[in-house]
Amino acid sequence: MVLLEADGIMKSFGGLQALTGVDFRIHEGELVSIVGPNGSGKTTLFNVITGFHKPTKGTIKFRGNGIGGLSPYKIARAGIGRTFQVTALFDNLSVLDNVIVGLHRQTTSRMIDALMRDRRYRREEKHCLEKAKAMLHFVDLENCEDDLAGPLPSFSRKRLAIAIALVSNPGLLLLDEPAAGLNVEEIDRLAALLKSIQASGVTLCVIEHKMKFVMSLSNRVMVLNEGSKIAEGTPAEVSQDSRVIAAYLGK
Amino acid sequence: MSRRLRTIAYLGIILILYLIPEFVRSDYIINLLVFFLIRSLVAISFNLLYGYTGLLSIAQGGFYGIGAYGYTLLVMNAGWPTWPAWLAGGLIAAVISLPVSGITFKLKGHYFAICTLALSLIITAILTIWRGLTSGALGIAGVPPMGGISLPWVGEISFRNTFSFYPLVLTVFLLILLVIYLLTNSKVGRTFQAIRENEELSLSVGINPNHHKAVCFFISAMISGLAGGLFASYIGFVHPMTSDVFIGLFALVCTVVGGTGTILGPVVGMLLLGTLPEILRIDPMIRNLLFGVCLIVVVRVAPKGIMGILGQLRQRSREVLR
Repeated sequence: MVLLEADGIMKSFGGLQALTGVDFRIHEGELVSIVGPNGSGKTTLFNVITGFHKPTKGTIKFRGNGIGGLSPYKIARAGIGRTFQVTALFDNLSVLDNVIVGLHRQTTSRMIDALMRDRRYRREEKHCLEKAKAMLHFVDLENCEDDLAGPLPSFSRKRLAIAIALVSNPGLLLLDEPAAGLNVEEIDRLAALLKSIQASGVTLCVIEHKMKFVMSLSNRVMVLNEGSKIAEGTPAEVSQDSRVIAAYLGK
Repeated sequence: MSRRLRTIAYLGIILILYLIPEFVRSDYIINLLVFFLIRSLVAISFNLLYGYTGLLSIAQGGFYGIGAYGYTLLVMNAGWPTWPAWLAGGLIAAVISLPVSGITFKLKGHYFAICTLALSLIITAILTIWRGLTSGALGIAGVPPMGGISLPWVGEISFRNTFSFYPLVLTVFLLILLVIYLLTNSKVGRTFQAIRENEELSLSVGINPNHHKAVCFFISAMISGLAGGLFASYIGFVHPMTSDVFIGLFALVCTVVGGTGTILGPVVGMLLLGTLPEILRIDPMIRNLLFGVCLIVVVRVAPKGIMGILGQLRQRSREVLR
């Protein structure tokens, strides 16, 4: 089943054409990678899907509903989670609170409930706490739930960022360069984590530069170059494609 | 057990606060305390915005003036009873915050601070120029005090002098402090802090930052307005300088020195910078100099203010004990 369909996505910043008509589909349950040289429009595409940039042209549908041009928080509430290229955390909150904030879109208690500390509020808070702790256990951060997020080492930061995006059970999770800056052993652990996320039923779309990582993990790969899609297919197909080789190595 | 002890300690402190006038029979000291509590409310409202949501507002003095004039005009010109007029004054201040929210939250950067500075100056200018309504720079004298209330067992209470006004302002202060505590230690406070920490990440988890910022600004403006209304009813006189931008700036200094983003930081800061110099009778010019020095020293040495230092000391003593 098609989860996300994007048609004719164009995005220009003034005179610069960052995306020139990209069509693509993400199917339920798969792990899709987007690769491409620097400046090929990968992060712009993420930002357009998640509402941080409004598309200049084109339509985006998530589970059949048009989401193109909506505010980022509305798209998040529709069930698309994401991480950022420069790992973004709530630095001066505890690790546990970071994850609890990630549950925001699922909470329904209002300000008056919080003031009264009524049963609905207390039940919801308890539920959030349990869910957040389970998520921290899943990403192997349960030992530092009371620490501030800011000073964490980089692999922990990456996992916490994934936990924040994942804890509210998004239908689609977009990860922007999750393996950047990690060593070989950490990359293996990250790959295992992504596999178990996929196995839990979450559809994943990953921007990544590390080719070995991409090829071993992805069901499908899409290659962007200068704002347009130049190839798409299984890792094996894409790595044989002459245009991809040309884009990466030069003719 | 320790939680129980703490509750008893808090109740004890509150009891002592209510009993102060019984032991300190000095009009001067109680008067100082009344001003301390009123101005602390302004600092608390500033801290809610800046310390939790990360919005630097310089308009708190303006809202204070609006609350003061709202109370005065509704009672004296419109003939309202004092209590509804006081609440309405706070509400008017809060409503004035809404257009500023609408304009500035779409922009990124320092526009909010600049807009609130402008708003504060505009409020003072309007209160000065609109002579027909506010009698301009002359101010309005003879503002009636809060109407008395009758309580069971206690009987009739009036708020006409310093000693009878003190329990009223203390009650309002404690209630607002309780509301701030409940808000900031809940999902609401967590959401505010998330916006302060990283607005983009907040958006990506489904938080609508502009909505929460507007709510926070609304509550904060209301608290400042209510403080202004208390001031007008206590002092019996309002003047355009009641909305002076310095009131808001002073709340900023006290909050930063006391500790931003902590419940008691603004109160401690106000005690240290507002009340202590008054007791020590330091020359006002030298006072301003001291405020500047305090601000620079705190920002350089202890960015989390006095509450931050106390927290560190407590943690260290715990480690030593262990």
